[in-house]
Parts: sequence; structure tokens; C-alpha cells
Amino acid sequence: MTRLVHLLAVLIVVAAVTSGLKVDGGKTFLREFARSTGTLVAFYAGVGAVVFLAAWFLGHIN
Amino acid sequence: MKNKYAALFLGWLVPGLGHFYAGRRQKAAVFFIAIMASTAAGLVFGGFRNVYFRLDHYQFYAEIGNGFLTLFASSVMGLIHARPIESMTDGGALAGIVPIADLYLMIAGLLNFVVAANAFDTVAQEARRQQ
Repeated sequence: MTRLVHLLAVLIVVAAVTSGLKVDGGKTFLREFARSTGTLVAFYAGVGAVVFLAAWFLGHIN
Repeated sequence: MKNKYAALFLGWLVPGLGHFYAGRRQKAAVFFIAIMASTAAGLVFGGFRNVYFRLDHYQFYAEIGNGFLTLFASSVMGLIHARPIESMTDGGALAGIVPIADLYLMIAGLLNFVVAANAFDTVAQEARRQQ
């Protein structure tokens, strides 16, 4: 669980930098940052769910 | 006229300094805060001992993206703490946290490579526009 918190912190840093790179002109940083964070967290949650289900299906999780 | 190589070097040296040089102060602040926060977390979790150069210490090759902080941590901190942290982690209290500290530092280093390259590109584009 602690490692998940660290992963979330790293995701937030990555989202901040990528949204900082993207923002130029009219878009506000905070909106882009929220969108990037949401996308990254949703993507990781989706991938995590698929990996968990695959591991469970293959018998690695009892 | 601003020099794109200076922007690249400054961006590598201190996160966000390349963008500050290019005149993008808000972006510079975002990059500085985000990358420094990750670096600080990595250094604190690693007890200020997990940044050091050795050929088989592959984490260093990503951490060097942080420029000044990595050089400072690996040289000055290496002199203060003679033993690398890996020699202290076998079964010890730090065994679990060191990979996480390295993760923070490696992510910060790799992101700073991208940010420095973006500062280079920003200055190069402005120069092209002025011509």
C-alpha cells in the first residue's frame, strides 16, 4: 500500500512536468495538470486491473 | 540572441533554469518545483547516500539528468558518507525504501533530460522565428 502511495506521487510529478511541457498559450496549467493526472492514474489503474486479472486467471494469486 | 546550447546546459544543471533563460518563467517554476520535489524525496528517503557513481550502479545514469544536484550529492555526500547505501541495506531497515528513493531520483533525472531538451527546442524555435 505504501508503495502505491509512492507510485501516485511519482505519477503526479510526471503529470506536472508533461502538462508544463504541453501548456502554451491559452490553456491554463491547472486544467491541463488535472487532465494529465486523471489520464495517468486511470491508465495505471486500468493496466493494474488487467495484470491482476491475468495473474488471477493464470493462478498466480490464490 | 539567446544561445540554445546555453539553454540546454542550464536546463540540465538546474531543473527549469533553461526555460527561465528562454523567458518562460511560469514553465520554469513548474519544472523546478516538480523535479526538485521528486529529487528531494529521493535524497531524503535514501538518507543522502544513494547517489554515487560506480560502473554497475545503473541508477546513476538516469540520476545524472539532474545536473548540479546529482553531482553535488555524489561528490560531497560521497565524501561525507564513505560507504554506499547498498552495503547497509542487506536485511536492514533501509532495505525496502532504497528502491523507492532510487525511483524518485531516476524519474526526476529522466524528466529533466526531457525538460532541458524542451528548453533547447524553445530557444531554437524562437531564433528560427526571428530570422
